Amino acid sequence: MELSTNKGPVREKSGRSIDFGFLGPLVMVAVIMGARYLFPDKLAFFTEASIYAIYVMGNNILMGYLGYVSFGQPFYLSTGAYAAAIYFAYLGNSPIVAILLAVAVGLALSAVFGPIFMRLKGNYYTLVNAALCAIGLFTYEKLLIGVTNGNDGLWFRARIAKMPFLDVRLTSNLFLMVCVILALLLFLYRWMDKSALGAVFRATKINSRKAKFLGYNPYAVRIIGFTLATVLSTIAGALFAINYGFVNPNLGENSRSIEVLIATLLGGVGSVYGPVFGAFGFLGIKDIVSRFMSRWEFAVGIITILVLFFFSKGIWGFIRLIGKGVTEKLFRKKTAGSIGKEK
Amino acid sequence: MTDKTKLLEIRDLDVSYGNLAVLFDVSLEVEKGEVVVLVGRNGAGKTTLFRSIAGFLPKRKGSVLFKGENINSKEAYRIAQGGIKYIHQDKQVFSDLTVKENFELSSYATKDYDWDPLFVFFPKLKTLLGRKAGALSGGERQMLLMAMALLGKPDLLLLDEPTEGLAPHVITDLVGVFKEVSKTTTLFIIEQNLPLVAGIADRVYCMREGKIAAEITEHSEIAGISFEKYL
Repeated sequence: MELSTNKGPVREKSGRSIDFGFLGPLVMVAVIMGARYLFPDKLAFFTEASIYAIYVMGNNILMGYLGYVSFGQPFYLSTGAYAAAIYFAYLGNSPIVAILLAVAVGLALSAVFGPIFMRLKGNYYTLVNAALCAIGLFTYEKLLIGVTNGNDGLWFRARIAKMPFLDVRLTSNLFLMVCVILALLLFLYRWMDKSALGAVFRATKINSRKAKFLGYNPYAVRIIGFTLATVLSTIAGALFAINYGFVNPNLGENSRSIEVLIATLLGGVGSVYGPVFGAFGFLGIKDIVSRFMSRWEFAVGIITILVLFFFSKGIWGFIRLIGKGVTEKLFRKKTAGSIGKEK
Repeated sequence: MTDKTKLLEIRDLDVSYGNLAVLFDVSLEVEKGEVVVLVGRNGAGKTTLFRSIAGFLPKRKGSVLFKGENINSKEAYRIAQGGIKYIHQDKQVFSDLTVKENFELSSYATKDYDWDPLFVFFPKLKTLLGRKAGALSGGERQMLLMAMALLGKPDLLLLDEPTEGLAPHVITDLVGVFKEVSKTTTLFIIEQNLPLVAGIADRVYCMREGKIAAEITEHSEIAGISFEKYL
C-alpha cells in the first residue's frame, strides 16, 4: 500500500521512479531454474532446496517478522507431509488435491494451536513447540502406526497421478511445478512484506505494547503470522512428500528443528528473499561438506557462528550491502563526472 | 471553547497492582474541548490512572465512561480504536523504523492517510521522514508520538509528562502545539511543570497518594498553583 500519493507529502512529485521490485520473485526463480540447467545432475538438489525455501519462508515469518523462535517447525512440516501421504496412500492420487489438503491441515493446526501458543512469551513458545514436535513424532511413529506404517514409512509414488497439464511424476516437471509455486509464494511474501501486514508484524515484534497504543491487537497479529508460517510449512511438507514419494517420521524429528533456524539465519532474518538464500546456502553446505565428512553439522556450526558474529543480516543482507556500496560508488562517480562537465 | 459534553467520566475508581492498592475512589471528568491537567508528586498515581483509562491496567472498582460508554472491560487496542490515544512518558517510538514507517503504522491502524495537517503542527517532521526514529531527539520523538496519535482524529489525547526531559525552547514549541491541537482534540495531560500548567490548563486536578486532592477551575488559582499548597 503506497501512502500519500494524493494527499500526503511523502512521495516526491518529480523524479518518480517505477519500482521494479515486483520482478524480484521472478528473477529469483529464473536464477534457480538457470542454475538447474547449468548443473543438470543436481536436479534433485534444486527441487529439494526450492521446497526447503518455502519451509524456511514459514519459519522466517515467526523468527524474522514476529520474533518467535520455534523448535517445533518439523512437526508442522511432517504433518503437511503426512496429510499428503495419507491422501495418496488411501484416498486419492491428485497432487493438487494433496497440496490443497496440506493447506487445509495447516489452517486447522493454526486454528487449534495458534490461539493457545500465541499467548506464550518467547522461551515458552519455543519449548512448547519442541514438546509438540516430540508428541507429533510419537504419534506418527507409534500411535498411528496402522495408518503411517511407523518407521517403515508410507510409500505412494506409484499412486501419484499425472496432472492435466503437467506430469509431476517426472522429476524435471516436479521441479517446474515447485518453481511456479515458489514464485507465486514469493510474490505473496513480498506483498505481505510491503503491505500493512508486514509493517504490523514488525511493529509487534519491536514493541508490542506500543502497537496496542496505536490500536493494533498484537495477539491477533501474532495468530495471523502463526497461521501463515504453519500453512507454508504444511505446503512444503506436501511438496516434500510428492518429491520423495514416501514419508516417514524422520521428517518430524526434534533434532531437525535447528536446521530450519540455521537456514533462516544464514539467509537473512526478516527479509523477503533471505529464506531462498538460506535454504540453498544451508542445503548446499550440507551437500558439499557431507561428501568429505560424515559430521557435516561441524561445518554448519562454524558457518552459523561466523554469520551470527560477522554477517548478522545473512547472505541476502550481505548481497544487499554490497549492492548498495556499488550503487553509491557508481552514483558518486556519475555525480562527480557531471560536476566536472559543468565546470 | 468548552461545549460541556462529558467526554470522559471516572467514578469511584480503585486500581491496584496485585495486592498493592494505588488509586482510591478517584472521580473526575473531562469535557469535550477542554485541556485538563493532572498534577501531583512522583508516586501519586497519575500514570497509573492514565494506564487504567487506556486499558493497560484492570480496574478493581468503579467505572470509566468514555462518551457515555463504560470502557472498564475493553482491551487497550479497542480503547485506542475508540478514540482515546495514550502517549506514554517513556517516549518510545518504533526506533528501528523510519519516521515515515512510524507514520504509516499509525495510518494503517486508523485508515487516516492524510499527513498534511500534522506537518502544519510539526513542520520539522516532514524533513525527518527518512530518519530512523531511534535517532530522533527527545523533542522530535515527542512530536512524532503526538503526530502518530493525532492520525485518525482521536477524541481524547492522554499525554503523560510530555515535556519531561526536554530543552526549554522545545517545551515552548510544544506548548504552542498543545494550544493548536486543543482546538480540535481534547487534551488530558499529566504535567509537573507548573508554570506550563498555568499556561495551558482550563482545569486542573491535583492528585495525592492515589486520591484526587483538589480540583481547580479558577484561572487565577491555576496561575498561582504550587506544590506546597495542593500537593
